[in-house]
Amino acid sequence: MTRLNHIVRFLASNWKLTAGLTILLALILFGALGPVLISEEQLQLGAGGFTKPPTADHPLGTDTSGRDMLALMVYGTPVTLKIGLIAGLVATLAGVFLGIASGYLGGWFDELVRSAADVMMTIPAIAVLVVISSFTRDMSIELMGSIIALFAWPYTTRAIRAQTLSMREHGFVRMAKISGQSDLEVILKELMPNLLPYIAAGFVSAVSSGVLASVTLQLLGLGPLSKPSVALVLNLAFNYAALLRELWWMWMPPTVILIILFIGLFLTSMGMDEIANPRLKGARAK
Amino acid sequence: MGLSVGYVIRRIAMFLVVIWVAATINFIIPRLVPGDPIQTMLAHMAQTERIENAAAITQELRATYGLDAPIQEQYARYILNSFRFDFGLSLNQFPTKVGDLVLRAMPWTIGLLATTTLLSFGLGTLMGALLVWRGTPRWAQVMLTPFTFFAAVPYFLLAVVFLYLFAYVWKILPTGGVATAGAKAEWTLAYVGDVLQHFILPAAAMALAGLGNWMLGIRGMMVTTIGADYLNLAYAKGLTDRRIFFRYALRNAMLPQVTSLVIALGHIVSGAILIEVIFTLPGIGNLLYRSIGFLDYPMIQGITFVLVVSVAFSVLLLDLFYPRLDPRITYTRK
Repeated sequence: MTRLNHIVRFLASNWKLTAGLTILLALILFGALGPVLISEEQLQLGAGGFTKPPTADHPLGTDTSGRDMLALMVYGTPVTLKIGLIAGLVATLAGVFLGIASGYLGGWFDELVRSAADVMMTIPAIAVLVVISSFTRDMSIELMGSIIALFAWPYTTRAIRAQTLSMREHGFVRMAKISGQSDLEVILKELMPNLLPYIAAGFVSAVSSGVLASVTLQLLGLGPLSKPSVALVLNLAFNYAALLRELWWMWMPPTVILIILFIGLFLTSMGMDEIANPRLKGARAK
Repeated sequence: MGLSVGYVIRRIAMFLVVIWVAATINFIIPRLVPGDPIQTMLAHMAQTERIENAAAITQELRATYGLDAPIQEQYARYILNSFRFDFGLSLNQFPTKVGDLVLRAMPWTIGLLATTTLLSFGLGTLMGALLVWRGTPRWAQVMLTPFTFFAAVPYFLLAVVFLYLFAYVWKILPTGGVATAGAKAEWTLAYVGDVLQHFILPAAAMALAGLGNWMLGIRGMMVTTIGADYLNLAYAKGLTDRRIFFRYALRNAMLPQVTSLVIALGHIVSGAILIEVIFTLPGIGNLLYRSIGFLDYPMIQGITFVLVVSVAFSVLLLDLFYPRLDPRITYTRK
């Protein structure tokens, strides 16, 4: 009970995080519960007339190949979320491992990780992603997420490394070392719990940049083509000049869902930052 | 000026390493993909149009990739050609060189994006700083806050919404392109005005989307600066609020912003591919988009290489000039 109270009070004190998580949860539910109402058959080509405006049968109309737009949104939203989640997860795992190791151990390993991260950060991810995905025409969702993570790990690694570095000199870490704990114990028992807010903040921003990268690629017509994703539907709308032809139901639903998704990620990210860097909270002149 | 020869050499070496990595990725990836990329390319080309010069294209591609030579020789030649910016001929516009097409598209991209980046940097920095400054009137702070939320929405979504509202619903601005169809490209007032009118929407979308990020960036730094002792001293001396804001607070809080600006200028080409697609502008981004649609591999590789080089170059410049901007940073030792 007190724990619940604690959580409620915490969420009330950080409205950005609360609003952001609520939006993301709503999108997850949209993708999870939608299939109960709309069958996957609606995704088949020519399922409901070609390029038809909304009717009772197809509340958001159909696209140029006759797929139901609402079904595309319901089945496409989780695809976009999943790519971002995989990218964020891989980048965070790599960041935690490499960041702690290089910050705690230092020496040549630190030098190596830092140089690799510096080089990777200088290469614009989108350029290499375009090359990779234009050669592997139809990749899996997992592969795309992992490739995107390849360019996100330097950021998480750097953030975790910096925190590890400053924490390493704190009294409680020295104390643990003096009392005979092994390096692994110090890392797991002393550093990890204190790094958690930073790891969580890094995870959220890695997911955000993962979603952004995947959406950008798919709007260019790259990435997994076998599963419909929200961004791929919008790419189709671009290709068919949906704006010019006044087919508003083709471009508006994916645009709106993507805007909602990015606002949710942004608010969550801002809320996480306030936890990781409390000084930013309410940063406005009194 | 706080730079040692060793440091400069290391930075330049780093720049070369980045370019080398990018060229190597360009070399390796086509070779990792199963199947013969040349046959794939030709098959794809045959789908979209009749190919009469298939033999010439095959030969050209074999020469570009030097596929008959041993692999290490292929690699050496590829890296050398990359450094000379020779990526062979475009498949889409066949006998034209990749480099020529990129050069032709470049001015549009840089013209639009450098302007909008500088504009949103200037405005965003000032607005973000005022957001946390205690001399700012309350109403102004309330007015400024909503702009930070533009940081949430990526520029291309903002662009779609703007395009719909201003060009299709209200019909007050053109729907795309750089000039009215049929207009003669010459240095007349009418033509320049026409182009500028076409630039309003894409520029507004890019600038607004960037604005929020600049505001958030300076806000964080201003919060740190506001507590500094030298500001209290400036107040104690009785300096005007305006002077303290510009000369003492903003000037010091701006350093990380300048870093980001240089990086952002390096990223303008890669960061705005979709704006050119949405507004059908003839820049690098649109060229890349069409090359992807056509699987014009030499073109794709050439453009992505330009993207990498421009970012790496701006980072190099930054590293070499930063000690001048911020005297606290010296690289004379280590």
